Amino acid sequence: MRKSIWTFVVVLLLIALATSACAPAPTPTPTPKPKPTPTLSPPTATPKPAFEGPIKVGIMTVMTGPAASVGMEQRNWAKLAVDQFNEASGIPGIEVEMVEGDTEFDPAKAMLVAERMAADSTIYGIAGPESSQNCAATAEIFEKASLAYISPSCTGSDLSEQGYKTFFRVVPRDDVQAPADAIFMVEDLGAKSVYIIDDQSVYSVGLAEEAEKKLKELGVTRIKRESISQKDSDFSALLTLVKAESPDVVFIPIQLAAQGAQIAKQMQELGVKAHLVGSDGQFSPSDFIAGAEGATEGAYVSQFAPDVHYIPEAESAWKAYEAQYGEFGAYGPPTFESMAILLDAIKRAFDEDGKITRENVLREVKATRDRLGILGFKVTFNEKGDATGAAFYIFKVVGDHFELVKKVEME
Amino acid sequence: MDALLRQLPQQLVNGLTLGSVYALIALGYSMVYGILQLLNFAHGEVYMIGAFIGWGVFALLVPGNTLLLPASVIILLMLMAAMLGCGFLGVVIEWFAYRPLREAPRIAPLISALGVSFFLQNAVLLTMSARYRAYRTGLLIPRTWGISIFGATISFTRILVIVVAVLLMLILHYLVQKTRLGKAMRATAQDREAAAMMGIDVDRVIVVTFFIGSALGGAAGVLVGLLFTQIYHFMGFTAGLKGFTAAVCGGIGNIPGAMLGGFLLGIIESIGVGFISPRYKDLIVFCVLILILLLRPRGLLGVKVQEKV
Repeated sequence: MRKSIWTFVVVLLLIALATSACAPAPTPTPTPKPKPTPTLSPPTATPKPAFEGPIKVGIMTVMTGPAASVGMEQRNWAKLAVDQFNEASGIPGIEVEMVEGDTEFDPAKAMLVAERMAADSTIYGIAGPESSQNCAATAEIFEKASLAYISPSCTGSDLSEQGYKTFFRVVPRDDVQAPADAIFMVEDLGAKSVYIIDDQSVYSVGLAEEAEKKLKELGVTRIKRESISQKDSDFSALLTLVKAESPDVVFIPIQLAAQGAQIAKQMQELGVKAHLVGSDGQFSPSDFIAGAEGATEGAYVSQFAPDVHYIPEAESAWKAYEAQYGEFGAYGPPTFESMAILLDAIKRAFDEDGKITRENVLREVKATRDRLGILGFKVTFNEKGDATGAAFYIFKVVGDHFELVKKVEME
Repeated sequence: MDALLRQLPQQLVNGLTLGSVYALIALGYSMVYGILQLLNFAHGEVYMIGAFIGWGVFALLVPGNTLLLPASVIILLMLMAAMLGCGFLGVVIEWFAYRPLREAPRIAPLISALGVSFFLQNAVLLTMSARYRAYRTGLLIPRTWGISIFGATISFTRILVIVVAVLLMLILHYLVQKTRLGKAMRATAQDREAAAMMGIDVDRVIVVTFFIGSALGGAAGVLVGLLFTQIYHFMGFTAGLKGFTAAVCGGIGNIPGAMLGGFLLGIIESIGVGFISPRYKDLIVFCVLILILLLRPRGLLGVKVQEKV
């Protein structure tokens, strides 16, 4: 008897899994191209045709596995944006629903999630994916589905050079970040020898290579490069090697701040005396500062977004966030911005056309002009999908927070 | 080459600490395998839970930045709580996931073990969130405490880890070799049915084995927390893999073998990083595993077991 119940449950689960994995993919209805002026009479005069939704937006990020801490922060900020939009009844009478897609930090999984989102014709836009490798993997799928996606953290330079029409991002590019870091190391820290440690991800290797190139240009001859893996938690063997080189700067363009903190602690333990410089992945007060117990004091971190605690426009948002979810690092606020821009575009599309389609949402995302959100700069997308005005910020760890020391704007 | 030789003592120290942790984890695999011929793949997760229990005790006893008790007492309590908690967890896992399958084909408990592993990982993910938790070891043992020999810095934390690990292994050795319980365990490992016929309560022995193996895993979790200070829900995966590798290297089912395998693996890993490249760390480790298995298919200290008919 009990056995049969279990069999039943297992079969049920399998069926649920199978149906969710291969939901029928309705081909997106070919809607005619939206004209720039859709209504001839003023919009206020015409009664709006009924549009009943549902309206869904997607969040795609990593929610399980070793990088899940970063991804959950993004997810929570995206949820906050949707909740605030609904509370202010952005689209009267219709709740916008957020659909979550876990990329597991894996391009193959990200493509599956992207296919599923593309197949759901009530999803009108996406905040995400989270990493350059996943943005690259999903670009083709979103392009075919005319689905606008605004990444809050893909900084890979190539992403906006492929001519995709649906790709947007609110963060600057790595071809700004890596040279900015290199210049900072040489000019501001006087580095003559640099030890670069990457974590073998596309993001990390890209930054490491760009930085190495720029450092060579600037006349630094003693450059060493080594790699760790994102699963490592002990770096003492590697740092023993680093100590033998006694570099002026240890540059860690890696994704996980907890690893950066551990590197800092073990540098102190082994007596490695060098400036520690990290890239945006390290910008996390809880992991890189509190988690390092003072070992990161005086370390530098470059970041694609400012610390929103110091931006007046962001105050109500981060207070609401902290009340609901607790502390946050660098990855969250840009996700809020991405989602808020998307929701604004949906609202404008609805106000203008009285209905929402992927095409008119895409049109409105593209039309975003000088929108001052919580990141402290006015977002305008150029024809490539890059946000003009986005900048890199170099921070120094002082006490329990990051202090801005330099700002490098995108050209 | 000179520079490389100069870092040899430091890399040995690094390897020794790493190795003592691997050894503790390997023991859990080996003990369970010795008795049940079961690969308990949930063991890595037990170790992860141990790290979280230790972290919880720490958070309880160190609110803010003040220690409520002397540092040594706190460390002791963390270890004891983790060992007890994980020991019971191991017993529950055995009772829930393995006992019903004891007579099933060997693949069934293996799948069950993987299931338990996923369950524990995601249970921690859901309850503790995905954030990294930091052991603030600096409050208990200042990072700058340590001694220098032959140009190697040995921090006090490393000494503590090695001493505790070795002590636990000695206790285990005594338990298995010199007590009645140990005799019963060895008898059960040799032939479960015959042991039962001799009046040994086999079920009880299996429960005790799971308890001890998991408790050692829990202790390893706390020690790693103190040493590497960052813990998260996914940490059991790599550690479990390394512990399993160590157990296989030494001869799975063999207790001194697991210790030897653990230390060997840790030292090879550190030396490999120092003399070849950090990029190939795991590659080196697994190449050594393959080499050992080619030369000695039953592991370094493994003995040939006759197939039972």
